[in-house]
Amino acid sequence: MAIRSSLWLEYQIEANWTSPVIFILYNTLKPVGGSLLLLAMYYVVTGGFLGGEGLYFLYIGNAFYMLVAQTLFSVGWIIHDDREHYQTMKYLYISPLSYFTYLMGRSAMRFLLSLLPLSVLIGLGILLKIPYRIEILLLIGTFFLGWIFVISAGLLLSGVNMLTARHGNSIGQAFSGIFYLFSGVVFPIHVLPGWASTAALGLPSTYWFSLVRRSVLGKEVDSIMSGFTTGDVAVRLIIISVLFFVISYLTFRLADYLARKKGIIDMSTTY
Amino acid sequence: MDAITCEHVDRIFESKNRMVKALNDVTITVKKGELFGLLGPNGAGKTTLIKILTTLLLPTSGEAHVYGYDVTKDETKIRPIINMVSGGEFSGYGLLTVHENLWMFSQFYGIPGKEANKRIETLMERLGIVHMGDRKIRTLSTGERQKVSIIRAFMTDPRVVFLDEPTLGLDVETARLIRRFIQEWLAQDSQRTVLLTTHYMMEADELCSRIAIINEGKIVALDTPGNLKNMVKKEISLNIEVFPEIRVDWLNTLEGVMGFNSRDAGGNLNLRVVVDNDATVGEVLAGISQRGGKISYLNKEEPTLEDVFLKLTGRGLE
Repeated sequence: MAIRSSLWLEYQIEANWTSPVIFILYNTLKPVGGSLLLLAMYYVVTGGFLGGEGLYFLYIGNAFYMLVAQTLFSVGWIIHDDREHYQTMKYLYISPLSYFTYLMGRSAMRFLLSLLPLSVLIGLGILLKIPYRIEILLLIGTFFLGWIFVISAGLLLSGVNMLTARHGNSIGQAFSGIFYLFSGVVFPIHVLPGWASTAALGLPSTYWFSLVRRSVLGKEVDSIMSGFTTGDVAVRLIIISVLFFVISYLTFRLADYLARKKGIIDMSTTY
Repeated sequence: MDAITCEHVDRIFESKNRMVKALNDVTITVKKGELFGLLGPNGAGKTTLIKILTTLLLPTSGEAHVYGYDVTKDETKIRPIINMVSGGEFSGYGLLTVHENLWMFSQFYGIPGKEANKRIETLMERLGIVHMGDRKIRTLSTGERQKVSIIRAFMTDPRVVFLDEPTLGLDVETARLIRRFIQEWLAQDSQRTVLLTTHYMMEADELCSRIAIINEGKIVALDTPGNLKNMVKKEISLNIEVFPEIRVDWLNTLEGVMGFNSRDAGGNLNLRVVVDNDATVGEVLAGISQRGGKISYLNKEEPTLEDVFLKLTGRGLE
């Protein structure tokens, strides 16, 4: 019941400031517009528009990155919003509900809400002649693993936010920027400097974006990631995601303990 | 087993430039069924103690237990049996309605839907806001919001409720309704316990079976309201209105003055002084006169908890 209520709360906070139609338009057009802007930049830089492996790589990577960015951006605000704006955090915190479960529910809804603009972008991809070869089971599994990875990242971010005041926005953006740069979202990891491409192989997001392309385009373009079979990528993603989750959970618990010790669970800074 | 026990609890807040001892060797025991008051001025440590007991804050040293559970280790056992209300804040999701806010919190406590709705309805009716279920939280007045907070806390049927200045900033009528509600709730079940912090001496006097007076993090007295007031039975409490307003810091050095509290009253001065003998009364009045003050009202009054506080700390509650 608690996780259902958390899902519901996230939806209400995101959506009930306006009518459902306007919310759906806002929730869809804003990220879709952002993605199309990137496409326009690609056009200017390359001088071509349709076709080409580079376009497919960028388009799909960017479309699915929206799930990561939007969820992390939203999770980045939850603690600060609850603590300082709504002043409900202490009441949530002292309830039998695990605050961790609550954050899971809230981030899951944000993840789900991001699926709508993603669907629109995939649909627009047909107009751009993206050669889709969707493997539906692999795609469903990829979504699930993506959710685990994004939740882990959100948990880590929440841990940091528990100890800081009013920087959720910038920390969330910086945090999701790491995945943007080092996970082969818009350019393959083989173009990164050696140390960076090595670091990229330690990130769960790198394997997740590779799995995304395999499940949507039926292939991987990046020369480094092409060296792995789909099974290899899935196994590596599961292992690194589990490790990432454990690290994130422990970090969150530590931050939770430190926040209780410092007395900042119900901090109000008016920053 | 007692509802709450604190043994030698200290809490120190450290920042770059300073160290504040918010709680200093606090030892109290609250029995089940008791409405226990913590009376002290702003910054005395009342909220800090509540935060420790509600598992929001760790003590620096000492031990605190709620229903036998250690607040530092057994938070998952404590949280289902407690709840809290803080006064003077605007908590709640403004975009949600009153009913949605309350229903959501009921779900976080695992109360089945039907039962939750029933409890919400009953409490809203009791506090006179049954017609406000569909109103968004942001449209409520301070008093209405506080009633919603009270319902949020009491609908979970906690065994221990922590009320941190629950009537702060409320109008007389609303404050009275909330006080009556608390008393009735407590009377319904002998296992229910309330720890109330307040700096309103009347509220503490009216509601509490026992009161701990806290000043600068230290418990300076703990007893029933009657016994506490007996502490100042031999002293003389004076309520004086002086015009125009004059400085009164000279009272600090006047022998026989046990404590005083002064308040600005629109150009006049309301002065409450506790002295230990008749001769000092004359000296106080003469001192006012010498400093250009004229006395428009003078009354020797029955001792109050504020007088106890004045005697114990030398300063007023506000």
